[in-house]
Amino acid sequence: MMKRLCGVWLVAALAFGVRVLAQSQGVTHEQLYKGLADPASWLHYSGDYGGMRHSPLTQITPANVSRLSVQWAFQTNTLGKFEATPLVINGVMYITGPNNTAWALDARTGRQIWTYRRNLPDGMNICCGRVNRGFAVLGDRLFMNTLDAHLLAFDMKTGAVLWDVAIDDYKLGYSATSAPLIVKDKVVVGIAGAEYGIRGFIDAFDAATGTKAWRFWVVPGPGEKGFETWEGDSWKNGGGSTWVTGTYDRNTNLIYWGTGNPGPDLYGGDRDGDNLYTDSVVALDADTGVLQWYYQFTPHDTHDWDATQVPVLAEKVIGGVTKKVLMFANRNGFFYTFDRTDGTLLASRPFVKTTWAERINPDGRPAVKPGTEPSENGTDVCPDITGGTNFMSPAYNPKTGLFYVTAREVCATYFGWEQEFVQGEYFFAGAQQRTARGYGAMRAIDPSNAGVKWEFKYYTPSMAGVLSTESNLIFGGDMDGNIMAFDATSGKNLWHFQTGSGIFAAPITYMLDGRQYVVLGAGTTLYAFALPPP
Amino acid sequence: MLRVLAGSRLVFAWAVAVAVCNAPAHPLAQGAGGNPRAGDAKAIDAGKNIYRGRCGVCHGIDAKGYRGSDLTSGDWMHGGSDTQIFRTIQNGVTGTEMPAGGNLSEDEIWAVIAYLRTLAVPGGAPPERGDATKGEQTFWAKDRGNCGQCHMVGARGGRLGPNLTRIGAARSVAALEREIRRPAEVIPVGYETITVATKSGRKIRGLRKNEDTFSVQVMTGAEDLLSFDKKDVEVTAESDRSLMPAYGADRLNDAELADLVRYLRSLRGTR
Repeated sequence: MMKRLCGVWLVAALAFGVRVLAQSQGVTHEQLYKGLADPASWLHYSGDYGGMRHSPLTQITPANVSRLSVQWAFQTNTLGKFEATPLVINGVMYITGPNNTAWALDARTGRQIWTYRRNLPDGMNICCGRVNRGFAVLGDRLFMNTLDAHLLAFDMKTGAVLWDVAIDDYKLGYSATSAPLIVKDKVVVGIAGAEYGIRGFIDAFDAATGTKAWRFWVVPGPGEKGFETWEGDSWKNGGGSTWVTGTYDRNTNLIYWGTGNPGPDLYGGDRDGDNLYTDSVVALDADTGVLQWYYQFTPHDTHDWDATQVPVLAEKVIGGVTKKVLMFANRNGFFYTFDRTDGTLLASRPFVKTTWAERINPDGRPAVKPGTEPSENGTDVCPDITGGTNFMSPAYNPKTGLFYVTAREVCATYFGWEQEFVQGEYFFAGAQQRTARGYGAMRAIDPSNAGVKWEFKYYTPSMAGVLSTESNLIFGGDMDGNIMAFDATSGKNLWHFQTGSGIFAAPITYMLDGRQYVVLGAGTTLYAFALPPP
Repeated sequence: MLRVLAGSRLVFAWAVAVAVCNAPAHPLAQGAGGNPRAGDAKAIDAGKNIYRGRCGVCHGIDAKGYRGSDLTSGDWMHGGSDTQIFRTIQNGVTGTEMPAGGNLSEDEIWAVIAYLRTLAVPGGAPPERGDATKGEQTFWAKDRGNCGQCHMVGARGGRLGPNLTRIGAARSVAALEREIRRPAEVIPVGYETITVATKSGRKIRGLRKNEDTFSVQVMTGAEDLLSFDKKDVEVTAESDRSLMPAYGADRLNDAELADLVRYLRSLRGTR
C-alpha cells in the first residue's frame, strides 16, 4: 500500500516539475557491477570496477563539444584543492574535499544539500597534501577515508556519521587519502605514510559494522614469503603505501591494487633486497585478502616511484587471442600490459623519456642502467620523482582500443643520503632538483604493444585524470587550469576552458533530464559543463 | 590573434600575492627566546635532512647561497635570533622568492635552525666591500650600468627586469655578483626571453610573463603587454638567453661591481 502511494506521489510530483533527488532505495550490488552502464550514475571512484573511466554517453560529440559551457559552479570556501572524483546517485552528487570535508549537491544545479567537516587532531604527519579522493557507496551509505587514518560510514541523505573506525594509528605516520572500493559486503581501503616510516597494507572492513575482515601486508613480516627481501629490521618501516584505489574483477574474484615506494625513499643502502611487495601490482583474493599473484615494477626502488596508479582491466585481442588484460602506466616511466588471470607480462615499453632502465627483460625484471642511483652529489635521471605519471586516473576506450594517460616529461637530479628512522620525522633520505621545467602531454597508448599512438602536448607537466566517452571523446586537464576535450582517435584538441586553477582531479560525466554533464573539480571549485539546452 | 592586455589583472594578482604573504603569523609554540631543540643531536640530524630536501634548492645544498641568501655567513637579513629566523621561515619574506612555511611543522622549523647553527662560519661574514653611493651612481648612469633602464627601485626605473626595491633582502653578495656577470645562469620565471612570430610575418621579442597550453602573455621591449592565442603564432623560447646583457669586466671593473653590489645590498625598501 505504502509503495503504491509513493508511486502515485512520484507521478504527481513529476507532473508538477518536481525532480526527485535521492530515493529511498540504496545502491545495490547489481548496480555496482553494472557501473557506468547506467549513465545517470557514477558509482565508483573509477566509474566502474574495471577502472576504464569510459562512459557510454554520446550526447556530447567531437562535432558539438566546442559548444560546452559552464552550467553551474560550486565553491567549497575552504583552502586546499580537489583531488576527488564525485559520485552521482539519483540526481545527487557526493564529493569530498580538503581536510576531510564533504558535500552532497543537487547534480542539476550545484546547490548544497548537506555538508560535513571532520574535526582532525593535531600531530598528523601528512606527506603530500591534506587531500581526499572521494567516497565509495553501498546501499544508502557512503564511505570515506580520513587523514587521521580512520574509515567513516555516512548516511547518504543527511551526512550523519554512522560509524567511525581506526584503520591504524595516525601517530605512527599512517594517513588515508584514497577513495575506498566496495567489494561484495566489504569496504576495501588503502593507506598512506611511507614518507613517515609506516609498514603498508590493504585492509577490508565489513560495510555494515566497520569490523575488520582482513589485512594484506604490503611489507611481509617474519615467516611470511617476501620477508627475505628486506635487510635486517628495515621491513618495520618499509613503506609500501596503497594510496590510490584499486580495481576488481568479479570473474576472477581478484582485487588488483598498486603499491607504493619502499622507505626511506631515496636511499636503499639500509634495505638491501627487492623490498617486496613495494612498487608492485598485487592481485588479492577478494574474500580473504590472500595474495594470488604480484608483479614488481621497480625492485629496490630508490626514486620514489610508487606504483600507486589505477590498474585498468579490459578484454583485448592480442596476437589473435582475446585476453583479460590489466594495463598499467607506471610512475617509473614504463607502460605494462598483463594477463590479469595470472600476471603474465604481455607487453612493456617506456611511454616517457626513461633513463634508469634499458628495457624490461624477458624475465620481467627491468634492465637497470648503472650509475642511476641517487648520490650525495646528485645523479641525473628521467623521469623525476613525480614520475612519468602519478595518481591521476587514466582511461581506456574499448572502441579505439587505446589507453589514455596524462604523461609527464621531466628529469631530475637525485640526491640520496643515509638517514636513521625517527618516529614522526620525514623519512625521505634525499632530495631532487628538476633539471629543466619539462612538459606534460595527453598520450594515447596501444596496450597490445605498449607503443604511443598520439600525443597532445601540455605546456606544463600536469596531474589531471582522464575521462573517455563512447562518442570518441577524451577529456583531460593541465596544471595551468585548462580542461580540454580531444578526438580519441587522432588526439586533435577540440575544446578547452580555463578554470583558473591547476587540475588534480579527474572529470566525470552523467545524464540527467536528457542533458549530458561533464563535471570536474579545479582548485576548490567544482564546474559542471553541458551543451546549451535544446 | 593579438590582444592588448589591461594592467589591472596583473596588479590584482600581485596585490593578492602580497596580501597572502602579509597574513598574520601563527603564535609560536614555545616561550621567550631560543630554540627548544638547540644543540640536540637528533634535531640537528633531522634538520639537515629537512634543510637539504626543502631549502637547498634555493640556498644551496651547502647553504652557502645560490638564488637564496648564504645561511652560513652569520649575516641574517631578517634578524639572526632563533625566534627571528623561525618567523622568517614560517612567514616567508615579502617581495622575495622566499615562500611561507614550506609545509613544515614548528618542530621541523626548530630542527632546521638547530642544523643551520652548526654551519656558521667562524668569525662571521667578511665585511662588505664597495661604496653604495658610487654604486647608486653606476646603477643610474646611462653610460655606466644603466640598470635603471630595465629595473625599478621605488617609483623610478624601467619595467623589463625584476623590481629591485627589496633585492638586498633577497640576494647574497655572491648571488648579485653572479647575476650581474652571468644573468642567463638563472632566469626568474616571468623574465625568459621569447619570440612570437605571427602568420603575417611579424616577430615580437619580449619577456614571457606567462604561458599555458593555449595562450602566451608577453611584455615587449617597449613595455607593452600583449596576449596571443598560440594556434595563431609560433613561439620560440630562448631559455639560455636573458634580455639583460652580461656585465663582464670590460663593462664594469671589479671595483665598480663591488660598489654596485653594495648599493643593491642596501635596497631593503617598501614591503
